[in-house]
Amino acid sequence: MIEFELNGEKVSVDVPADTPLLWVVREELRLTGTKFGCGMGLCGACTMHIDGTASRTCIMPISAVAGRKITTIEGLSTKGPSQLQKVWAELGVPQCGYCQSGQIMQAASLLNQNQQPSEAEIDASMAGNICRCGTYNKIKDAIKVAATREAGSGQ
Amino acid sequence: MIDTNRRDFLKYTGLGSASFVVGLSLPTMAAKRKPNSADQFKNHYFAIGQNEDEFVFVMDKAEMGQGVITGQLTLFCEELDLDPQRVKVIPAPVHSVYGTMAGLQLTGGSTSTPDRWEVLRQAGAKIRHGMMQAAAASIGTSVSNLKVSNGEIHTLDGTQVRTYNDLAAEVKVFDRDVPLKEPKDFKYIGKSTYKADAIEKSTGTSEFGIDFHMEGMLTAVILRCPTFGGKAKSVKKSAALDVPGIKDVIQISSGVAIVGEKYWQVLKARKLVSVEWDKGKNANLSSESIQNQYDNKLKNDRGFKVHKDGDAKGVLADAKGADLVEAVYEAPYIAHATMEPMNAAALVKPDRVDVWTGTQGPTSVRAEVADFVGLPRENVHVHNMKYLGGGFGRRSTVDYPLEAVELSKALGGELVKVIWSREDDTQFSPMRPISRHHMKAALKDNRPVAWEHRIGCESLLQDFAPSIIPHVLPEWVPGSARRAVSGIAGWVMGAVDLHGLTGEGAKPEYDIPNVFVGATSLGLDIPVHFWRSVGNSYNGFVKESFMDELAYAAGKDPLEFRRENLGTDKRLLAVLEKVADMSKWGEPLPEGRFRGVAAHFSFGSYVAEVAEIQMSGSSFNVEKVYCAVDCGIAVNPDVVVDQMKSGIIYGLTAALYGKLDLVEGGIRQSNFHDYQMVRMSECPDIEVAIMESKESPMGVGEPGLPPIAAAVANALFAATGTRHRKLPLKA
Repeated sequence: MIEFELNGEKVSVDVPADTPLLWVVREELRLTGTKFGCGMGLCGACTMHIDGTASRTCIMPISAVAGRKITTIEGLSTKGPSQLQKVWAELGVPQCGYCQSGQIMQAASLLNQNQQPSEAEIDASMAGNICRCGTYNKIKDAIKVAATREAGSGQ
Repeated sequence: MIDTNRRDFLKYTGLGSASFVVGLSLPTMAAKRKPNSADQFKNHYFAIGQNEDEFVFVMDKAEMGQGVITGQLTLFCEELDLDPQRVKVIPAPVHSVYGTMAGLQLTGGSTSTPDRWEVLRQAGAKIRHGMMQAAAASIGTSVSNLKVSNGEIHTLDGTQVRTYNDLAAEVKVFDRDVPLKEPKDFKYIGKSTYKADAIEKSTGTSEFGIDFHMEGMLTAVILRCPTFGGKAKSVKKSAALDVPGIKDVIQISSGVAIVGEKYWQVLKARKLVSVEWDKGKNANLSSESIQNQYDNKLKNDRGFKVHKDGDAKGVLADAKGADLVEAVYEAPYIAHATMEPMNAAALVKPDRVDVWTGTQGPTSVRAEVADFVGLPRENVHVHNMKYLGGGFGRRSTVDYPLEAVELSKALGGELVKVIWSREDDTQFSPMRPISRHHMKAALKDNRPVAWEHRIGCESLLQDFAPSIIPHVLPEWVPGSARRAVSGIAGWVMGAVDLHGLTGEGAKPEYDIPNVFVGATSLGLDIPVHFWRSVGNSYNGFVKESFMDELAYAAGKDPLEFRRENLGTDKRLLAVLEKVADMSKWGEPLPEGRFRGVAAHFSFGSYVAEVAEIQMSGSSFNVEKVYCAVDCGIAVNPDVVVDQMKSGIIYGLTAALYGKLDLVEGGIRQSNFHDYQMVRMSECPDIEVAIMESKESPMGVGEPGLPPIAAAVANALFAATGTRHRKLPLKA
């Protein structure tokens, strides 16, 4: 049995220790907002927060997250969509939408650590997340708008 | 499931029996059948319930990121006079009433908006008209005393109000056409306020095929032969069967299926299966050998005629010296690489089959599955997903759903979902075919007077037609006869295809009096398929690069040269001039910065692009792209801009990195480390201008793509003096 915290709730699973966190969350715990894209940590579709930091969960064995706090896209909006998600929808960022959970989790992690990221810092942080529809320009805009709004709200 | 009766339809939508139900009957390519009272309960698309905000639209088009839900509802709701955000959308089942292309439900070819521009607005207008009539009768006044806004009908004095929901049980739709709004009165068309799926897709609540789940469902991966067309000779499976959770290891047409409870188990077990393969006839085939075969063939073979004006052959034979320009271009196999890898779930029972998948062509899936299991088509239920994690043409094949059906049947009727790993998706998906291009042109007084383009490329319809034709034919034609007809059709269309698809976009838009475009193929047995913008994707690159070569040969500025030779195509000329303005063409650029231009017409739309690159030593980065598009009326300008950017970035990935190497009959690349994508850090800033237009809207999902590779290659020539005639540019 491996125990960890998922979106604020304690969970325990009985799976082989090398099972990636992504598949535990999707198949055992049935939260499917986080997507499978490559299985090698190359595309970012599987991004969740582990103790607040964006991580590629398709290559993260479940044994490595025992006792840690995991947040998925579902956990970002337990009390309704977060500010970042609202901006995301308002700007109409998603196209096919498949990579967007990962993009948002990566962006949320960036903004947690750096309230006013520069253009270069956004590029560096988001470079691991592929979008085949090419929503990059809008993702960048959404991050900037969300950062401005957070600053404006006095946080 | 939905049937051609009202009760079943209401059950499908979840609405009460007193609801208003209307068949919008939206024929497109076929002759227009008008919605009328006689058939309004046969073709079900839209329903209004009696409770507030019960509006349900059954969407037959596949939403794969192109904004089709937003576009279709904008057209319909404009004339209905209802805020589209209030309408719930559910995916359509397979039914002949939804057939658009030759009776097929198919989403592709950038056709959804142009095809539905008239019919969806007319359908909305008729329902609005019916609502006004019903409101007038209910209030006891005339329609001229009423006004409507967002589903509410008011008397002019404001004393009485009826909503569409109030009137749901009373309304009738008339079969006469209703006058449509003037563009100045549009509330939703031409605005960017509505985006149907933005909140779902920003909160992780949108469901894709890979998310489908039912109790007791098994999961499978397939171990496929590393060479295309190979088969398993012998399989050692005992080690895999020892892995906890593994149920079976079983051979099907596409390879050896490893079946278990969970994805991780089956993926691990797959590594323990050892197979001796019969590699088949492609074992010695490579990208290089294919290019060589094309090269030899094109030297002596002008190919099937795709387009001919005047006498290119004669004029070219007389051209000499600097007035004769010749070049050879080539493009490799490339992958669609949708973010959501292929997947499908199936449950095969003796009298019924259910398939859950995301597909651009559910009719083909249903017909193929029906033939495979030997059941009538109505016993096959294709549950299309509301959202597809990318399509780009890839999801219009039947390979992946059929695989799940075959496996479910082989397992004796277990519900099973087949998931393709990224490696499977990269190595075993049908690809954009390799192409080779022999170019020749003659100049006279520094103007192009003759142009010859010989294309070597596999025919797409040779594969696709046999899988489509049987589904257009009625079911009573026996399967074997349908197959025979389609086999012939495949052969015939293989030849016709060279006009329509292989050579698509090869004819120059420029005023060149003598043009010959011809195409030929080798008859290879390697899976190829439609890839975003199809023939335009490589022909756009070749045509616009070669045009650039001619400009330099004529000693002219590349943009000026295009402008001078675009006498008749005014709309392409206009976007070219627009992009020249936007990019300040002709003005000096900073140190190390260079620009290139390209223009192309496809899917009814006109697009010109200027790419600016920054050189650093011998490497370069694309920093900025300017794009001007004339797609007629922009139904949702924000979606148009998004689609231009999307096409540009998708095309840029192909231009810079896209290459699958066929080696010994198999694909060498496997995942994003060796099949690279443009990422945010190297994504250019893209500026898009939409031309004002009163013309009917045309395609936007694909037309942004064709010019980008040439625009970048032309910038590279401006920077280095070296002409890049082989894709990808960063190989």
